[in-house]
Amino acid sequence: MLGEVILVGVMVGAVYALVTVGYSMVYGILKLMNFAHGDVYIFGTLVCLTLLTKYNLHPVLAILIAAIVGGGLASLVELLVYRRLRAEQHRLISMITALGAAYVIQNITELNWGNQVMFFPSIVKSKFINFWGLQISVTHIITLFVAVLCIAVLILFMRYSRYGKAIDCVSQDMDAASLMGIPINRIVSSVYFMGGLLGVIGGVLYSSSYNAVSLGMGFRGTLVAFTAAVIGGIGSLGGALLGGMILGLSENLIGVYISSSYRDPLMYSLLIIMLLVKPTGILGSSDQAKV
Amino acid sequence: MLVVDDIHAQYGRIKALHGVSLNIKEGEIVALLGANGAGKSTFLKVISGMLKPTSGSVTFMGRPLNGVRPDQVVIAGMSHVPEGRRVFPMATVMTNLEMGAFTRKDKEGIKKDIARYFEIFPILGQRRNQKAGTLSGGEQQMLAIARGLMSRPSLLLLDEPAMGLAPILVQEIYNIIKELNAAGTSILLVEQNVHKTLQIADRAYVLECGVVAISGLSEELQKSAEVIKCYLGEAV
Repeated sequence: MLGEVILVGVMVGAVYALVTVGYSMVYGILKLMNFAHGDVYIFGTLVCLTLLTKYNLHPVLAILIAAIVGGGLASLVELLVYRRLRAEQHRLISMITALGAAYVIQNITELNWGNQVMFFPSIVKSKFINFWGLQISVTHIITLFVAVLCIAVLILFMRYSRYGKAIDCVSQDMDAASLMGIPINRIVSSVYFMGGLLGVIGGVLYSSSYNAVSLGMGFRGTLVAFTAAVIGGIGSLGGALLGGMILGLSENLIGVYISSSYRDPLMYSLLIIMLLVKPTGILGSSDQAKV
Repeated sequence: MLVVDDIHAQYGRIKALHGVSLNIKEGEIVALLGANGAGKSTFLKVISGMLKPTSGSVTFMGRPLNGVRPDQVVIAGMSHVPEGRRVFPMATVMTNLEMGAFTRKDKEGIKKDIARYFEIFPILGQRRNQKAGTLSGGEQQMLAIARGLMSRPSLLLLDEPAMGLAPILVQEIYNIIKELNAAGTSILLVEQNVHKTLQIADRAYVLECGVVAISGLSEELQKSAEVIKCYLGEAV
């Protein structure tokens, strides 16, 4: 039993990590709480649902299209809304704007898909296999595999590609990066794009492994991303992964062994404890700005 | 090569430059002297595209650069080494240099240039995999200059490269500036140190409260060094 719970926890953790990464990277560069993050990825997830159920697209194709739509939407919000406020000195201004953007996207989504919980088909046939005495769902394994693959690609990209390194340098010193000839606007756009893209993949994986999707998951997703990012160390890639994993695992352990109604209280308690004890997060360094 | 005409600039409501004109010819070292707050860094920000002037024009190699983004200024052949070094502290020396070459596509050429700067600055070669934030101030300044050169600029803007360095390092940085210039890079050097700067510069402009107070050949200005010091607020 414990083995299965941990496996599911790791799967959920990997999906949370995927959702958190984009959120945390945006914070790393712009120091902006992107409250629209969750609503963007639910929008993309619902696009995927429509492509799967209405147009009977192949799941891989549907996810790809939906992920690109999500990435595009995230970049669009940046272009239309956040970019104009980048020079604003007070962070509260862009934060409130982000909340506004979240509501706009939420309501557009609600107009199209309504606000009830919908059935989300499994991407792969659910089947259980016996592995070292554990009953393992194939869906969970594939979900975990896809999430880990995406994260690995992202890490390699950030560490070894010229563009990835440029993103990292922009987050360290935007003005100096600009003087190097690094096109800041393009970098910021692409970070939003990547965040939206990975978020949608995470959203689809999550929804298909629980066979459910709803509008409300968007706001919860933002909170999950925020909490995971803060726990791991906001702005850091490793922190996002670690925070997502901690949250996913502990949620599942609590849900199974205590009660699933303690899931959210636990999440916020972790957040509060972290902010009190180490506001920079587990992997955050002390010179980084606190949340 | 660079012609700046009647630049006015401001931050919000605070006016920093009131009509500054300056020109640099190919192969020159031109110094821009001035006290803190005289508008030197603001001036550099305007020509490197970081700050939009309220009026006036910047022409570089015959091309107007008004309202052009910083990355396009770099592509045009100008590189700005900012005040306070501003290396990427969490990135390695190597990555810092690679970022300096972001606008270039020739991988082989970039490799060669990095090898060349490791020869000129051996300490950077030894620390190539170290994070830039762990370097000493002098090493960071060398890295900042080398990084600025990685885009192969024809004009290099140096904002107080000697600030906060030990005298022996200051001399070293100045020697490097002279060598770079001899190798064909034109230089705009922003400084506060009158004597040292006039020794290596061909010409100089003295900025005071956002206007050019005096300008001329270094030899001539050296005669009135005491006057310049007054503008800079130094004790004579």
